[in-house]
Amino acid sequence: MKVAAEHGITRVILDSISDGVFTVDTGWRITYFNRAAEKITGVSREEAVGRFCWEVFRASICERECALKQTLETGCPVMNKAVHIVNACGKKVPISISTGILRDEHQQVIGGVETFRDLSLVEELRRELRGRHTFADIISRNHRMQQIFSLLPDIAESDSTVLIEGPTGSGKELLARAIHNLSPRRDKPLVAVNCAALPDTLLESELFGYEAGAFTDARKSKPGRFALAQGGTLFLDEIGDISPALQVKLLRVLQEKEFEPLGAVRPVKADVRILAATNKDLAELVEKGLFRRDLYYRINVIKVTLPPLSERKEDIPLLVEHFIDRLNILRGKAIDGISEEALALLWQHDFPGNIRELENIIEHAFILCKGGLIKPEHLPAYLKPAESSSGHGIKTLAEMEARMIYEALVRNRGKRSLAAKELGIDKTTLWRKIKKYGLKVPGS
Amino acid sequence: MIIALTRWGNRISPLFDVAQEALVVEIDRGRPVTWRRVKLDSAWPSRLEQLVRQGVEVLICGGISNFLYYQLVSRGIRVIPWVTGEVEEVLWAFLQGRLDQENYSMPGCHRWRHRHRGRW
Repeated sequence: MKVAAEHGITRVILDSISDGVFTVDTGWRITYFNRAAEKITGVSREEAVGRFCWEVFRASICERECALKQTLETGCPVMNKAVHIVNACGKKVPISISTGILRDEHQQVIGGVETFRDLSLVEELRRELRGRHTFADIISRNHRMQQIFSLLPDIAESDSTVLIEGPTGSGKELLARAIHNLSPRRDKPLVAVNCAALPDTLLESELFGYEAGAFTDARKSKPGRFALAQGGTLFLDEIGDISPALQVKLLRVLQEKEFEPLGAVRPVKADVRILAATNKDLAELVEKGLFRRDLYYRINVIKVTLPPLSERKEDIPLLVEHFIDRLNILRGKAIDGISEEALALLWQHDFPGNIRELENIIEHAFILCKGGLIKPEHLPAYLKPAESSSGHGIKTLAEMEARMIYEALVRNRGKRSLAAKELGIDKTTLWRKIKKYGLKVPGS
Repeated sequence: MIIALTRWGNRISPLFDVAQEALVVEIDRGRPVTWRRVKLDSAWPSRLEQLVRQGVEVLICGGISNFLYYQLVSRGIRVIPWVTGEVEEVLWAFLQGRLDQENYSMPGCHRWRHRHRGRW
């Protein structure tokens, strides 16, 4: 009786802590799974108990360096080993694990125990601080974006200058950071400069630095961004906004691979990879004589064009989910998701500010929404139907889906397989939805 | 048809993202005709390229991160994730259309399927 009561108390205690705990028997089957473990893995206790631990845990170390196995073999516990798991939603979750041996009253080994802590907050904060973004942080299932993803590893490896074109807020800097973090220069700095944010003379000294005495008040030398990025990558955002004078200087750096700080007597070697971005059409600026043709060709070795969010609307649910997860972690809130009505409103919007605008909308909703689902009333007023400039009378998600499918079919001249590919769905799913909505396939 | 099953010993690997080996099987008239063991690269871009180069049309794997799942699907590979069990048994279950049985599903997989419903 007393043992049973103690057992019950232990369970209550284990369920009340925020660390995940599970135990296994000597055959690697789960015998206990606490509430935090359910939350972190997304697997319920009922489903987990009795299953192999690797089926439930799906950690990066399960196959080759299982910490529990190591502990059971050597008798030494593992403490705070950082690994990641993939939860039941398919999301990578960083965790730290610790292990121990379970013995019965005769000191016989009866299994092992593993405790794990969700490090999502720490990881998110670290990412914010250091900008360690990877491709996995660029959320998309859009066909054009996936094409970009498949090219980028080779682009990252190549060390060539890259021009990233795309409207404001479409993720140009995130892409630049992802390229840098996948390149051989990943251990060296990535230095970002917004060329539009600084006046011309200041931008010049920012980029190339200056020597002491170069001008009045220049008492000490200051290294420029090129010097700071030595061995790494320099990201020049809004490159279309730099003056003709600075264009000449930049061209020289790209050609000669060296630069001269203001007031310096000899040039400095520049071992820097340039990633440039613009929301303008540089080719058009060249035609108008506003951007040097030779510089354009120097920069435009590899061009990546990011589509606006209005052309990849199928990513909206994924992006919303991502921002909700991220803000839940950073703000310590527990918003469950977004209602279909609110999502339909987002789908109707054209997003001139692209992903940044969507992020701001979700941030706005986080202030107003106290819990549960984000609803239309939590969204900014300009998205509501009365004020919406692009409502087209669509009220439900189903109507929006039907419209998206129809538009994809029109764009692909009625070719179902191409439309399915563009929408990121299976051909049979597309067929089913065409039938469900009674859509007339253009051209058929 | 060419299918790949990620392999860990004689079982389906728990996580595609770090799986070390795949069994690539060519199927002709519903029966396996050739079997090849392919050591998978550790970096994800080359891992995807390997599967594409092998002509894989269907991938059967255990857990998989959404990022890699989207990548594979966009490259035209049909992915059947959250599968567990012994590789050979899973292969026959697939060929006989029995892979949706509960005993081949990883715990929690219904949550993943619910989240990805209608999307693929």
